[in-house]
Amino acid sequence: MKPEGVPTIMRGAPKRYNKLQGQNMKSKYMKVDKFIILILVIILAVTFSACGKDKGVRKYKETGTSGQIQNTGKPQGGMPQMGQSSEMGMGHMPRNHFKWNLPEGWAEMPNQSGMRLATFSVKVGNKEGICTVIPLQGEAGGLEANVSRWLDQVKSEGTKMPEDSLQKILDKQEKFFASNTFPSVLVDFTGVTPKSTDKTIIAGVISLETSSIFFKLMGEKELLEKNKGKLKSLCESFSLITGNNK
Amino acid sequence: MTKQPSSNEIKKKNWLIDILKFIASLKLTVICLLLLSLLVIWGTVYQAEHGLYQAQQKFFSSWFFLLLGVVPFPGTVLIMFVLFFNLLGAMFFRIGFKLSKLGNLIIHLGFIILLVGGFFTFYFSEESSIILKEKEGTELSSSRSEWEIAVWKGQNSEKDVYAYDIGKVKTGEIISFGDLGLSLKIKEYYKNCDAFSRNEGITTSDQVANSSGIHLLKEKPASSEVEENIPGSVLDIETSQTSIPAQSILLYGDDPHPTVLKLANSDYFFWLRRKKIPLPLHITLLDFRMKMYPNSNIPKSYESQVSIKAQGEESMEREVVISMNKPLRFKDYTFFQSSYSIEPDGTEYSILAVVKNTGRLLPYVSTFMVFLGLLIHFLGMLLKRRKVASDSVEKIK
Repeated sequence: MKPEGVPTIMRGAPKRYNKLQGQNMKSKYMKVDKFIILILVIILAVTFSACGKDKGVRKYKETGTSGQIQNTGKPQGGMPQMGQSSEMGMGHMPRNHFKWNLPEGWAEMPNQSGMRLATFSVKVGNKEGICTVIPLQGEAGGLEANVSRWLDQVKSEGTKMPEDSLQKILDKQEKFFASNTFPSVLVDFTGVTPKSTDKTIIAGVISLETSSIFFKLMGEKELLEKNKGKLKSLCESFSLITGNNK
Repeated sequence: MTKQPSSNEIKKKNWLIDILKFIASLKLTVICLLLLSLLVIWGTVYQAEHGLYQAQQKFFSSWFFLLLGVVPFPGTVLIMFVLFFNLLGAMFFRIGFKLSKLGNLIIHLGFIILLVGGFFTFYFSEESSIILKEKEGTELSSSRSEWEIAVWKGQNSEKDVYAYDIGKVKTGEIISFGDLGLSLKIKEYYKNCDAFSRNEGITTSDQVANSSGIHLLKEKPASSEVEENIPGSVLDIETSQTSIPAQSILLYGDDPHPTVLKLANSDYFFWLRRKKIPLPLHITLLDFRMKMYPNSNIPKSYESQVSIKAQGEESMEREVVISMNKPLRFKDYTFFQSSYSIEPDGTEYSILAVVKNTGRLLPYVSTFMVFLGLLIHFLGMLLKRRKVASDSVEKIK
């Protein structure tokens, strides 16, 4: 009869395995035991050393001008992955998915809000206008709703509010293509504000497939009239950084 | 005379043998493979709603995750480790080291090498990208999702940059840049935040230095697409020199400028930017070419003609074409043609994905070993059957 505690012989197992359970258990089994423990220790050591690989200060050489501006319109950093549209994640569009050529005399300011892709300062003499670039998707990006909101913003004493319907107002605005691809419109409210010092808006709206990019220039009427052409050229230069520019 | 093991010794070894038997069992292999299949399907479905990164982190880069927030469920990493020991156990205890089992042994060894390759890829591979316009070159690539605090001294065009990976920093942590003689203490750190300047109307009493005029950071929820998160941090500069007054610096990931501070008559540059990975070569884009489908603006293929220059032991200079299905391989690095961009003025940019993988050859070794093992195994079986058949014929005769 088999004594209690003696394991069953493994059917189909090699002789060396079954021998482990007999008289040679101590000698042969212990060798295997130690070997496995050794492998385990090595693997665990490598695993844990790998887990801490990011710690510490790295040093490397870099060639380039100190303080070189990173976002000079040249794409940098992250990018859409192959096969993905650059319009991915339109809820928050990374700046480095888009490019444009900044008109002469315009200067980029630090991004002041997470909604904005960029903010530009436009100066003529001692007067300054601000141009913001904001992406909006879905209903928030609807042109009529935004034009209506802008009309409210420019409304002041003496403003000649257009009597046409919103659709008619939009039909009268200048149409063009950004990057020779995306249908765009330049909405100009300088005509509704009487005085050259009145605050008003000119906006370039670029329609992408599921969203719109708004280049909204705000400032005094005179400054905006002088920069209307530059705003249009800025919008025309807008392009996506993608391998899917179809 | 050989000493017989006592009953207690046998009992002690019994449970260990039971564990080893289970580790080496085919049952465990099947359980692991079923769990892996389940994770692949689950991860694919999860990805549709939560994004690629989240799915990867939860299912494929984890040891375990919580099901319904309570029940722990094994992740792919844990299953792979179990599978590794299962194969190792099977080699030792089920197959054994016999010539007649050579094919089977090699097959198992091949799979073990495949898992070891996966281990190296998981822990040591780095993915990044480089964006070049024609005639432009670089020896650094940028990570898509990882960030670093880069600090350097002086205005030289070639500079030694000291960088600290900021991914896992915690408030209060001190980063010591010993060679530069300064330390940065993390006062605030946000994985994703918005930046505000003074003219935004938000004021704070804290005085922080920032070259772009950013004054305040406000945390916002992290995006499921990790590449879209823009980190920010406020740090206290600590130096060993008592003559330099204590000051704070604000760094923001989307800041187009590094912040410059004059410390002890030297200019120090601080920049929070995407992690830079030094490449073993200098790569220059010579020409970017694109072919379109006939009568359309849809690109059929695109490729970059680049010049690569390496120094040191493997010093060389040559021209290479990287196209969509023909990457450039150099040492542990692979350069893929990933994307492109063309500006309205005609300036062409080529976007290359760079993957550093120290174990990239292991899958090839593994595949060859599995092929060799199968060949030996089936040839052995064929010869054995022929021998049995000829023996039977002999007996009949």
